[in-house]
Amino acid sequence: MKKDNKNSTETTHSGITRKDAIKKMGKYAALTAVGTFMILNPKKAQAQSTPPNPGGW
Amino acid sequence: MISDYICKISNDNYLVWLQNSNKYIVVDSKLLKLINDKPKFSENIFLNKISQSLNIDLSRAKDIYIEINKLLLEFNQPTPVVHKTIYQKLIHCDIICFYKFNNVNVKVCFDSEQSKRLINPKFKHLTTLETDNINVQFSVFKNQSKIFLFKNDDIVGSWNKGEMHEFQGKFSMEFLCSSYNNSEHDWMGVFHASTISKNNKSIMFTGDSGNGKSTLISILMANGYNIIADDFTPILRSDLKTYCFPTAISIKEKSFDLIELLHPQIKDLDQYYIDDIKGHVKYLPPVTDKISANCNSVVWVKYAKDLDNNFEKISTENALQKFLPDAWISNNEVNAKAFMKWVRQTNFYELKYSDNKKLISLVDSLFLD
Repeated sequence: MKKDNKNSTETTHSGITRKDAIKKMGKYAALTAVGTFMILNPKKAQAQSTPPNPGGW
Repeated sequence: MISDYICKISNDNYLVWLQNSNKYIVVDSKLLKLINDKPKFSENIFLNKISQSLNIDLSRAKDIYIEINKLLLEFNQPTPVVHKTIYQKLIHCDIICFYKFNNVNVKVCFDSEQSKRLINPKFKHLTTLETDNINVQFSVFKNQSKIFLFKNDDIVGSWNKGEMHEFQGKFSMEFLCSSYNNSEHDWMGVFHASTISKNNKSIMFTGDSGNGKSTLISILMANGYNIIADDFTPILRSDLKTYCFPTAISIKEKSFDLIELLHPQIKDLDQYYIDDIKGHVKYLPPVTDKISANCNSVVWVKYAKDLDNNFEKISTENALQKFLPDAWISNNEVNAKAFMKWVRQTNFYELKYSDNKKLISLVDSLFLD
């Protein structure tokens, strides 16, 4: 995994600070950036594809 | 330790089940160690540990520190209640259907043709003339803008108009448990997948909605494969096998012509309107043979007319990221353990296809492995 030691205020190619970039990337952007990290959220209830529209709702 | 439920899924990556929130994380060994170590150290010592371990400056280490804190909070949040069921008395429903599967007789009572339309099209081919010796009775009715489901005299749940996919999922789960005479948590999980079988082996096809899973299994059914399930594939904890869930295969309007060449009977089937995006569907009765089969291959499917055929093995972490958010995994400890065991013994692939003939020979080769 490529690491860098850039300061958080340093601007990126797109002209925003690394901190801003992390904010834009989401909740766990810093963890995601330094290694393998993903949260997987299975469904809390069984579901199926949409059934036929019964009409009249 | 953040969890007692950790399994290695590749050289340096681990799958971790977080019991309180019933979430999973995939994380590498360095991050896992840091997350586990967090409670042992003061902030300053821990910041230095992060900085050394990941070879980053203290400012970045602080970002990591904040996120690990956030993560630990999230882990400890219990699973929210899926939805509340309001009090409701069972009301009389006089539109009745009788279905039979796996020698279990099921009676379903509906209050209206509208309610019947939510269930019957996919189950119609299981209709039986046996109206005695009923093993289980369901009632489905609408009241106060909600759809209610009862099993025998007990309420199972109620759902709003926007929750019809969950209502149908719950009905399918109850039907499944009645068919195999077991309970919800005997199942390790249910996958949003279409599954075929041959010679005691099954292959599960997952993929985003509209990527041709049902069309694909219909093509394979015309080429000698049996159907385990379309859209709703259960795996039993005790043997980690897929089990037949015999609802009809839902064929979308755009595939009617192709499927009619393979299954001419589809021409005479009723069609049902789903919505503006999906259009109409027809429900093709599946050819089922085996009740259960081993499953050690999961294929992520993507169909497009102009795609080059491509089939390759993908990493477990990549596969989990694709299919786990659409799956229901029972939140019992034994089921989480079973899920991890199943993940470790399963191979994951990605299939992009446009050529049906090549597809068949490819699936044939997977069954030979």
